[in-house]
Amino acid sequence: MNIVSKEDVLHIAKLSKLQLTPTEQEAMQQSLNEVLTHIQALENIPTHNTECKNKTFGTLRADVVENSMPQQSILQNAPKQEGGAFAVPKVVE
Amino acid sequence: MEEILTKSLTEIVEGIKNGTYTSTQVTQACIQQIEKTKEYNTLNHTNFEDALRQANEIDERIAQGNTNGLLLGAPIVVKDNMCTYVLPTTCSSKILENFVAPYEATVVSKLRAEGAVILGKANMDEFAMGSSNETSAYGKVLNPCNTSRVPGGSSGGSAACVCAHQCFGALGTDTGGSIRQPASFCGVVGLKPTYGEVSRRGVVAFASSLDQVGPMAKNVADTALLFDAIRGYDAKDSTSSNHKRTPTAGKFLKTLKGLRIGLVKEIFEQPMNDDVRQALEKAISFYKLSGVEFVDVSIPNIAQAIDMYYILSSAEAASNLARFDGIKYGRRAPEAKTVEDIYTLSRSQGFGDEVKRRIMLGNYVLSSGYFDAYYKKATLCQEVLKQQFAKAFEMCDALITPTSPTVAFPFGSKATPLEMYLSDIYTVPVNIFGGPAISFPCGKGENNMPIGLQLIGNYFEEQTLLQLAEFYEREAK
Repeated sequence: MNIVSKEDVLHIAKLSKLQLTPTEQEAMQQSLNEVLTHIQALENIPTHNTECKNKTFGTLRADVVENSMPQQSILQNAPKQEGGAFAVPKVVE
Repeated sequence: MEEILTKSLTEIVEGIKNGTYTSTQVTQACIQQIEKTKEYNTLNHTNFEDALRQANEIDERIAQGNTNGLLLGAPIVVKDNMCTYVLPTTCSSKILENFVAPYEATVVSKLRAEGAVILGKANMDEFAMGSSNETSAYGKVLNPCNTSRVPGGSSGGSAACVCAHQCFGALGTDTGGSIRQPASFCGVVGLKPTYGEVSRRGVVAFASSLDQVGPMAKNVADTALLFDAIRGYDAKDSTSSNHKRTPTAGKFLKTLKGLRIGLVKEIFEQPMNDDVRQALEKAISFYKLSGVEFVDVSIPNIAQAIDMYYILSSAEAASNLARFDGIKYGRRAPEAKTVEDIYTLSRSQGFGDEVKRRIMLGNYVLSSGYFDAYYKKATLCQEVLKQQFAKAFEMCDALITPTSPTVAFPFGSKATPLEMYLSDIYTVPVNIFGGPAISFPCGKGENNMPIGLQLIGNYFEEQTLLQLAEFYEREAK
């Protein structure tokens, strides 16, 4: 089944900040369609009487001010840093 | 050396406590074994000098009379998605090459507090996405039981290093079966605890509502010991459960009378190889003879859990992996001239094919126009499935299934991603439900490869699973 078109693949890749080669685009379209076709099976599960309960959070800790990580630790993995900050190319001309 | 390596974790801790061995001796034995069996490619990162330094510290503490610690002096391996000082944390991805975390995961700190020596970081499927360890940027892990076969995934390195006697226990993570399936394929024991039982702070997130850290070891008693060491409430993990925990290690049973196991009707309608089916039936007969009562239960939508899983886990993965943008840490494409380039080029070069596919699938099901049809529908179906599980557990203490429909398969034998996804049909429902499950060896199948049996429990009923598994391990012939 063709659920995802080639245009969809390009659009989703753009949203995902991914660049795909033409070969990758084709393989991606094929595997996404295969998986999404399988997933359609969920349509057969009746859920009109079901409520979605979000229980992801357990107990939230108290919001107490404490020392944060030292600046050097935060920067230790920076691909590029300058003057104690993360360095990036100019964003605003 | 052989004498040390074949010991269990429980025996080695006892031996170190009573002075039969030193932590240094034991750690050296493991290092030699790792070097001797390097071809399995189980570990992404090691620093043996640091491991021996840790061992020496413990030996000095013992010399001063302090023998505290559930894991005193024992070398343990952790999966490469758990943040550690000294050793890099890369999730087997190029996008995190050379990343050394500025803080340590709670589970790793807990291991250290119990006297463990952190021996190395286990190879895994990239960002824990895979069932065969073939998606690792560090190359595949070989199954020590037969090197032409996969070790399973995503915690394949953790399972293989336990199997190859390179350590006395390992930690894995399980989002859809990533502890249990490799444990099954490598003939070791693996426990996926209840969601919220073990802290995930400092563990690189894949699908936050499903991820859980758990122990992998040579036998059930060792698994219980390692489980006791890592569990507990953590104020820094908002999904951590704050309930009273009592130790599970050593609390095993003389009889199983009074316990009830449920047979899920729909499980037997799923594809399952003959060798696996025979092993399952044999295990059921064993439990029946041991006094366990069996009841028939139904979980009508158990087979669709895999569809819910690929929507929910991919959606969460797409959001979680958005943080890898080449700005603050991780790989930055050297040729990028603009910020947009940094994002797109770094991610395109840094992520492997499977990770890209999950991100794409996740962003598709979350995108406007499709959100209700996919993501919302999946969360509603999840609720339906949870209710079905709850109903089943009104009638029994545990559910029995195989861990995987097959024994470890040969490398490259799954032709499409979907085929690979479907191999997790028995493990994935447990993560959608959120309860605990254990996989332990229950015989050999095709090509003399190990078969794993899975027991699923109700929320926070790990103890019952450990007791049932330990009884089998001790008594089944």
